[in-house]
Amino acid sequence: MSFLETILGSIKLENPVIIASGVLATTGEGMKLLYEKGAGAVVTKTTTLNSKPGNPNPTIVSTPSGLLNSMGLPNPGIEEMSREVAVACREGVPVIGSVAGFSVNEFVEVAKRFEEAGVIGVELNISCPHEKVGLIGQDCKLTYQVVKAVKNSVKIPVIVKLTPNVTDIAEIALEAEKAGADALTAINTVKGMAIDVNTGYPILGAKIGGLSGPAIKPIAVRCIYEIYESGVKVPIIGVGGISNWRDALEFLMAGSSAIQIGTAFMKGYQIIEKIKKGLTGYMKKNKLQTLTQIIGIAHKRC
Amino acid sequence: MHKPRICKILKVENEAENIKTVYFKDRMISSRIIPGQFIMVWIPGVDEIPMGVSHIGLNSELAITVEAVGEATERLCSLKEGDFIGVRGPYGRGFSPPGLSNLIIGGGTGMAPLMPLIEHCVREKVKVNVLLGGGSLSKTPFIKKLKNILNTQLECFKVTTEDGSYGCKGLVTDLLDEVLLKNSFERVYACGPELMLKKIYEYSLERRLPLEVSLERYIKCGIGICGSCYIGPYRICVEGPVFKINELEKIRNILGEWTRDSSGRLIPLK
Repeated sequence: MSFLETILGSIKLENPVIIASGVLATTGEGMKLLYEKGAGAVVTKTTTLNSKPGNPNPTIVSTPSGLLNSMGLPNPGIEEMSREVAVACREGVPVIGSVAGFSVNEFVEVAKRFEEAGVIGVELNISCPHEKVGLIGQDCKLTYQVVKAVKNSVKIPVIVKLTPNVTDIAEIALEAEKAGADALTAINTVKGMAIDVNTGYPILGAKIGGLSGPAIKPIAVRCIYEIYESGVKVPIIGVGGISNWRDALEFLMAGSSAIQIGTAFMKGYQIIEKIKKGLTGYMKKNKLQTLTQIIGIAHKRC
Repeated sequence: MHKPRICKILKVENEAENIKTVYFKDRMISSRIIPGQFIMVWIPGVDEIPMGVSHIGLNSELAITVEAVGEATERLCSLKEGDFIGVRGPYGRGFSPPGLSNLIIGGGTGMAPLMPLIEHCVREKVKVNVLLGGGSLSKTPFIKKLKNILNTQLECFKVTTEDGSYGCKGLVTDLLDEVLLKNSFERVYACGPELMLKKIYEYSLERRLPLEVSLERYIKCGIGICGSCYIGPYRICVEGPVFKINELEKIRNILGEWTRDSSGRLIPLK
């Protein structure tokens, strides 16, 4: 067993560094490349039943310590995305299909098509901050319904991506687990906005977007800590502002079994190997054999 | 850093039918940009689009050349001196510095990102040969500007129009044999419709020409994280928009065949 191997329910990954949804994994070749660059798994761009052009530009604007985006789930629809995914899956890339829909049935249909294409699991995006589907993740009942319906329709693991834009994230996490979620991803971006003071115009085409990057890291760590503390049994995948191996370690200590990288790709693909190298070095230095010795240790220190 | 900086439009020139050149100043871009890199141009309340820079002048002066083809470009073309746009960048990889003898091939507004390269050649007093293709005289930009430069330093300047209203009748690629058989070039640069670039690429491959092309895709973030501008394994906004001939090998089967719309769907080019 390698130092960095991690287990997410029935999913076993060579390393815990996963490419977050919405980042780069838009084409089969893009997914292959991310795997070649060292990722443990790749989450696709969120896919809906029909193609979606996304929001008008600007869809991205930087802030002093993060990015605001309002992409609006642009995707070619599941039919074309499943062809892209199949290209990567045939080459052995561990792909997780990110699913969204405008009805429970759409979630089910897209998840089933991803399963047929060969993904190792699906991640339900019920938390996109600038799309209506994001409202699902703010409501226990809707979360339960969507997760349950997808669980009943596919055999592969179902991961649920949670939003921090709620009063109590642990409550939603427990509801997702009750509905059968095999793992949880936390967090999606935090709602935000930027206005150009010279012209008075909101900068993003969709006006309101989601904040990612270093600015949201403490929020993400807190959310993961709270979810873990709530007694959730399923593994948590931590995401939100991880820019280096120390950040990744912090997420593991808060209770994540794996981590996702998004905004940090602004620094280039090498961020994946840098995080892996840093974690390996830390484990060697501290004579640790497996990641399970780190995961959640912050809870034991209290 | 990746936030639009508001600039005042200094002047707007009619370049050709439905094509305008918009001048503005931005020190951040002008101090860093190399020919071939692109910028993101924000038209507040409308859209933000990637644009090649068509002039890199003194005193931070820059220009973009825009053809009115959609809502955002129509609005850009309707802007007047004193209006505002937002800009961020420069982004991507530009062209290699010119050699001692250079061939520059542009198709329509594809000539825009090549113009600063020509300006650079003129400043550096190196040989520059230019081929420009367009639909007709009235729709082909930069003819006048290039003719002015011709008076000083362009070694050869040839224009083709599809309807024969100016220069030779036909496509710019029809001139390749004529120009390349008579001369050898240290660098060949091209930008224009992808089918034109595909033809130039295949031609250059056969003759081992030192080609660099600038490609185009739907760009959203401009900083390499959204994945909307992939062409094969390359992100146009980071690894491109300029590619050297050896790099094109990896996308040989896609070049001139497919592009992607804003959703990422494949769209045939032919």
